Amino acid sequence: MKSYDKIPENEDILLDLPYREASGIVTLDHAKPHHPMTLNDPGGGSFSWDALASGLGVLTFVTIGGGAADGVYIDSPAAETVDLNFITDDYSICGWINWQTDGQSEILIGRYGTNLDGWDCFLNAGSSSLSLRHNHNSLTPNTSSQCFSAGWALGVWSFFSISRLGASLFPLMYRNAVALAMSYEATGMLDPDTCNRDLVVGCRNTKDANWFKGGMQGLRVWNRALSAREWMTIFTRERDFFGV
Amino acid sequence: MTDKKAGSGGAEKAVLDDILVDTTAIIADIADLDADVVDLAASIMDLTEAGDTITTDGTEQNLYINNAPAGLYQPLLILVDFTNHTAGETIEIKEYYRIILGGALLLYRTTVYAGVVDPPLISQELLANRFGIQVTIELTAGANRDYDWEVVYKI
Repeated sequence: MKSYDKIPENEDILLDLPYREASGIVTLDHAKPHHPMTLNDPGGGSFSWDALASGLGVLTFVTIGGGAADGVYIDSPAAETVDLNFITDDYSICGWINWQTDGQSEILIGRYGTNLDGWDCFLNAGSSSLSLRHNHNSLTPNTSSQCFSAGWALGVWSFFSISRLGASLFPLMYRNAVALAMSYEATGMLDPDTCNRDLVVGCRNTKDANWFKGGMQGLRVWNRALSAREWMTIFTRERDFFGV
Repeated sequence: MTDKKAGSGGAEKAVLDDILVDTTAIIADIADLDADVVDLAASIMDLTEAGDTITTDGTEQNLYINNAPAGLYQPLLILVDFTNHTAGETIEIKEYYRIILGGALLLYRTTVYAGVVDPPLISQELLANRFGIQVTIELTAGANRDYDWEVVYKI
């Protein structure tokens, strides 16, 4: 029998959000840890459970601006996401995004305090780039280190994936399973400080800014660095749903 | 001395050129075959599982919902842990299914658990469906409790 856990790419998967509910304020994590994930609407924004032409369900984050209650987000308590407290660990992140912009940076996912601790991943409106950031206040004045890739077009579905080897200072990013040219700081990506904060999807760690705007599907996190071939396998298996 | 290479170089080059073209075509065919294998593997149903913990609040709450499946799929069963459920609680678990495109979720079955449940882990088989499934839990008597639950399905 073919099963989720026997799929080679799912080895060490920690978070898997396929957004299948199409209803309510809870979305299920289909990875073994079952992190409780709650949809939050602080005010003017909203979630829209949509379907692609292929029938696949996607979750759209609808924001009305950059104000403290203008967006929506998903979160999971710090106590329930200790396994996502990456420090020296290998890890990987991926998902399908179709993003829009109001001109501000948009957090995709993170478990962090800005310039304090933890890790986060965000889109930059001005440069259409995707950044990965490690926050390490213990290394003051060097309180964070970042790397990024460019060319993340608005308004189209793209499969983003990131592989980080703990032993390396240089994580890799892929778009539609194609390795991207990366920009790194001189120090490379230093280890983040340990973090005891909620996991957030679609907003700043303070849950009041940097709202993700657009569609998202299949957000996943692993406790290992996936290879280029694995990214290509996942992308090949899913691309037809998105017309990519 | 004649230079054999000079005399036959043109023919050899033509043969080599043909080989290079064939290799390129073969590589393209292999890439297509690889994509077909991936698609075929993906078409075989994967046994998958999901779960969570719910705290009852006296209203009808979703346990498991797949309100817009991408297509026909097969939920197998739902398991609920009644360890925290005491003699004073009564719980109703309801199953709803949508059986036509755009239709309403229709109540299929209500199962009532009144008082201590022994053994504490219950299971309910679920039906294959294409248009939506919803399993709810509702506390109708007693105190709010935590219930761990798990659903297993093929998709």
